[in-house]
Amino acid sequence: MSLPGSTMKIGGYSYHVSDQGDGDKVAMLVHGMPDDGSCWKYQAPALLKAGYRVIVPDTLGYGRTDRPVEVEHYKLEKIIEHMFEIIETLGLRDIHLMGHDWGSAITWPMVLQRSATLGASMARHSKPRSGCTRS
Amino acid sequence: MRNWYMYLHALDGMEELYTRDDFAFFRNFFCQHPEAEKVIEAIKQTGRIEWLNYDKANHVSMDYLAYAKDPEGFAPNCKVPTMVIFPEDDMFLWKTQAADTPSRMDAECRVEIIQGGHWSMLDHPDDVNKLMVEWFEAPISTARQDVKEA
Repeated sequence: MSLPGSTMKIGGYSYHVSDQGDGDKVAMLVHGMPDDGSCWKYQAPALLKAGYRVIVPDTLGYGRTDRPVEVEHYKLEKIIEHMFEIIETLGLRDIHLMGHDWGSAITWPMVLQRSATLGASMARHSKPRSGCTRS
Repeated sequence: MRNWYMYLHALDGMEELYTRDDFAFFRNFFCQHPEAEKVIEAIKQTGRIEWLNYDKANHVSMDYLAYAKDPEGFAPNCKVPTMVIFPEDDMFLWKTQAADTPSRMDAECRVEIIQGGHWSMLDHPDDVNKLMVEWFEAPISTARQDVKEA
């Protein structure tokens, strides 16, 4: 199901990351539950056509990325660190970020933590992380 | 409360409940997912549902409590221009979550209410793609700050 990609060692885990296109503009799409990167199969081609380099990871526990069974591996803070490690390993800057479901619960703290790295974001169907607002 | 399932996922027995009787409960729960059968096939590869651990490891009740104790200090306002796309028929989340987002922003914010279910990037991909590319390409100074109905 995952989008075509390769394996990266991230946070001690094997992460499957799709990295397509070679444009100067960069978009990173983060899926939610119960999907993997293939849920962006219609958006990745549209972004490639618009000249973007498109980064789509399978997050921990999904698709071709490692799927450890222990709960402690899935703390949100760790998953967010993994996303930043992918960005840093690939040498990306000025990223357009998009998240869906739990992916929004990952991308929203990312934009709060490192505004300078992220150009514009989209929170699709934001995961509730507070009582009355959005992720 | 639409996100009751987050609590359900944190309980013992969910993996078996989802998978037994040929994924009957899973199909009912994920009835809005256009590609639920592909998800089922992926689960069958290992027989496990590791992603339940996201709800076990990150109890949303703790966020609710933190927000109740300190609404203003719970999280800083977002300084990155952001667009929220909310599908009208989303069965898991509230429209108010999208509509209230501009109040937590210190940057341009655009909220779009579109047709579709929770997985609108799959069931209405053309609508999502148009908004996505338009937003990413838009000069920040011209980004709208309103809520549009589908």
